[in-house]
Amino acid sequence: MKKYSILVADDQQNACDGIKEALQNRYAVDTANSLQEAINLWNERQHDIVITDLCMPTGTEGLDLLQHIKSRSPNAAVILMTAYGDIDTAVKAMKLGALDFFTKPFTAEEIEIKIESALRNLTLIAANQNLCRTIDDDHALIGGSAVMLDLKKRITRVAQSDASILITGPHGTGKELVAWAIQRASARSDKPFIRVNCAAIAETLIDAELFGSEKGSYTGSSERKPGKFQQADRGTLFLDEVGDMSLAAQAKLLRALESGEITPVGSIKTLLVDVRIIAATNKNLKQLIADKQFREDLLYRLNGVLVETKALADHTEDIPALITHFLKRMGRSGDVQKIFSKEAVECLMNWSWPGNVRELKNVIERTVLFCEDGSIGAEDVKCNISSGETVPNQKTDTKKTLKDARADFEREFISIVLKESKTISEAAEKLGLQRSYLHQKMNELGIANT
Amino acid sequence: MGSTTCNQELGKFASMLANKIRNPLNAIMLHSSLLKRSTGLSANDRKHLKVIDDETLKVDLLVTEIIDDILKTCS
Repeated sequence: MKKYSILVADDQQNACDGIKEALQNRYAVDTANSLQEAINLWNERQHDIVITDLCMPTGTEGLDLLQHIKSRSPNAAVILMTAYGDIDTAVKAMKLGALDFFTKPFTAEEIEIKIESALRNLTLIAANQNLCRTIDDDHALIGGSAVMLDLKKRITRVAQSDASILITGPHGTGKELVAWAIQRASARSDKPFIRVNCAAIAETLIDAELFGSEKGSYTGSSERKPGKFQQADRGTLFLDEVGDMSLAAQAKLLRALESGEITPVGSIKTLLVDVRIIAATNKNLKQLIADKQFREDLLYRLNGVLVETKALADHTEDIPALITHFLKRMGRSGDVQKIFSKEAVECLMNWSWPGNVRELKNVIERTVLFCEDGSIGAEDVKCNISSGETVPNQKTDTKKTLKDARADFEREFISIVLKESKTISEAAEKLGLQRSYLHQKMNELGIANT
Repeated sequence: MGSTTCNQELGKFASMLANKIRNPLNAIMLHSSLLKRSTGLSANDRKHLKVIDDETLKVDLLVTEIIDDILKTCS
């Protein structure tokens, strides 16, 4: 295992020797007796941790070393020690990025504890950066098609402003990824990104969920709980499935958005929150407004800028890149790497993908899981698409009669609409049919009522 | 000498005093703590080391008190 490296900079040789002896069994320790020697050694070896005396010997060389290191390696851990610990210098050191500041004299045990604490800090920073990278990879918008390039350009543009954003598009087209990309490209990128699934919040709990609650404010609230608005303060609040929110919840949300203030349940205090709102829906909000299911004033509040995601069928040229992306992700989780043959990729590109990228991802995962060979062929793909709930983008079969072809189309079309609808009445409305006639059609075409 | 200049001079003196005394104290305390790790020490050796530590801390406390007095004079 690699030993962590430590640089000790102090013009007092005896102190350097003592610190080195205390640490050298567990760490690779270098010592320097002047600022220049410390800079040269650090430039050469980029030590994980630097412990430096503040005064060596003419002034505050420790701060110069700190600045030199921080300007080149912002995550480096620099600990300052001093014989004269005045508050002003300590504040200055911490502002310049020192991890710790302590006064002499100290024992070998004390310096060991400081180093262990610094290493924990370094490990946490590294783990956090790895997690962020993984999340960014998982949330990457894949594809170089004109559709995706347009989307990425729009994201870059809207990220610069603080306007509220409404993302619309069919399900499975990556609306959450777009919201994440906007957050990461915005000035709030290092602040929280809190997702709220508006469809999943019970109407009775909406206040507590969004605005938080004080201890004992309702049965079962055993502790003070911050709401989503508080959690997202100074960051971004992503309201997913906003079209599925109840009217009562919409009214409460609108009030919070208009005033920028929230009142936790059971509290008499009003809190100011600074939150950027990104909302998403696959519903037609204008239609919902016409049906009196969505508040018009809330739509205007949310719809500062509109961003639309397109169906995968509109950019099938991105499918090879998406396959590579999903295979890479599966490889990371320890699954055996497999390759999609040219025919398999073509087969995937010829599908209609009513479930969009989410469906493609599921098909890829299923195919990789069930295919025993390292190379995945067109047959493997077809087998796994048909075992899912997708509908093939069938090539025209000219041997069929017009009646049969029409029946096939109707069966396919009605099945898709049924799948996208919660109830038969909703499907009938979308299809422009009477509910009873849709039932009759389903019986004729052999469509199961699921 | 104006009061600001006087304060600056006293501040410099406090810093110099701290550096001149605490740096050697630091070396004493570090090496004493390292010596305590040695397995071949007798009870008497440990008693001597404790005296060194105690006296080191006394001098450190004395430096702190002197510096506090200097800073009080400044303010």
